[in-house]
Amino acid sequence: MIKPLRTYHFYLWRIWVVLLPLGFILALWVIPRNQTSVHPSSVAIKGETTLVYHAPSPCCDFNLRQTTGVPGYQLELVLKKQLKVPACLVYLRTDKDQLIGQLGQVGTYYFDLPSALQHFDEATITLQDPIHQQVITTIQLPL
Amino acid sequence: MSASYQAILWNRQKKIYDTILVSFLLLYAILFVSVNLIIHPEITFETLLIRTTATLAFLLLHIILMIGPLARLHPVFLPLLYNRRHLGVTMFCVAAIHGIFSIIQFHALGNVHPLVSLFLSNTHYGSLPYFPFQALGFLALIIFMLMAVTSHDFWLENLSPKVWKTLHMGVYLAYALVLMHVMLGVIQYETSPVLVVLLGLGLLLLLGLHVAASRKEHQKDQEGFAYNPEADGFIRVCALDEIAENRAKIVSLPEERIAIFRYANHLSAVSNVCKHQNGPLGEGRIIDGCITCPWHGYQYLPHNGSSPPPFKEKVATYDVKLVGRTVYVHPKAYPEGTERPPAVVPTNTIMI
Repeated sequence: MIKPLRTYHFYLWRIWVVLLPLGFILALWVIPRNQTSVHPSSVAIKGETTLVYHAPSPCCDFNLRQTTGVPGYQLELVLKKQLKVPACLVYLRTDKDQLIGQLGQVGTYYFDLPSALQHFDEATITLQDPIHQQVITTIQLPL
Repeated sequence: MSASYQAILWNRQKKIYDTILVSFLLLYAILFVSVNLIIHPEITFETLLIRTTATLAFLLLHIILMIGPLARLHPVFLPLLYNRRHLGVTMFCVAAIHGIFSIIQFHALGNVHPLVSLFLSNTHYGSLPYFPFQALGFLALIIFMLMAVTSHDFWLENLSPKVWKTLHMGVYLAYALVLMHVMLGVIQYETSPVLVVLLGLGLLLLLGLHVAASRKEHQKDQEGFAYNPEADGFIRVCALDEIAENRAKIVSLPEERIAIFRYANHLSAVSNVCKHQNGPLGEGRIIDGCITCPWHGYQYLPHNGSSPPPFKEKVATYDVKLVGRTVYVHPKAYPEGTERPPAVVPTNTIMI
């Protein structure tokens, strides 16, 4: 490299050594805090279950199930046709938003909902397109 | 080095380099797809393609950005630098697949043009958590495209090495854009910490290498100010014994660096800057009577700074003198390709 470019490289990376970690940390700082605690389950709950609630919609059916004698719920989400949006996040909304999983191909998805849900009278399931920041559909779960 | 332009001037080294590169791409793709199909059996083909190309392009970008400082810090990494352009073009192609499929996947289903949708479907430009991160990736892809299409020696020759190198330093801006594209995109809803840890390690590694390499070069440049010219304008460089046969001593002057070569009982000085990609000639050696650039093998005759016919590259030359066993160089540069008589090393001078 010629000297002007060496000088440019020298000062640029001194700026980058401050700015890039700052951007990295800021991006970590703004991650929604309540989205990492629950992971989707790939299998249906076993044992005797009760269908608490059933809500059909054009794109998918929502079935809320509960195992007899066990606290907590499992949400069965049957995706009947391919979504028009390519990325779809599933949020549970009570007094706060909680990411519970993502949808992909047509099929049946199971999401274990937190046991604390029984303390609420109602909750909302929202399917959201994270790229365009648009809500695809919302259903109320009467608990 | 070629007297005429060809799409690719294939040689054995390039074939080996590209074979390793293609093997790595295939191996990575197979491994990534296999692991993802196990962890996320519900994943769609489109998502898998987008994720595979995204991670592969970002990994390649890290490797590309590491090669430059590694080669500056230790010559053992110079072979990686030799064909870095193929690596860069490959990275662009992989990133372009990711970009094109992402735009089709995320923006081709609406009633506006996909590129309009890319910038306007999410307009939270003032919000960090909801920032339209895809725009950052798109801007980085434009920089990569400019670099890929100008990567050939035709553009290097016609843009001039300085402009070409400046343009290709845009990769540092592109890296910053890609980093924030990832951090404000997938990291915002990725529940596993693995990706964040890998990104952080990659960032630390790149920052460390570039700061170390630039600091080393900056220190060399600062050394130049310590040289005091004699009454006749010559600068004392070093003892003759400090220059090994067929090697050079590099002198850092305020303007630019000079390489003083010792060869066949002669001393000649030329600009340290190769005309090809501004490689450090003084870190090369004399091969077949020619100064050979360590980066891509461009060659120059030491006494006149000209490439041997039919090649036309020329570098500036300088006057050298030997007083006793001390080497002196005059900082005034002669026009590129000017023949200057080499200083003669007496044959009874014993090399230690």
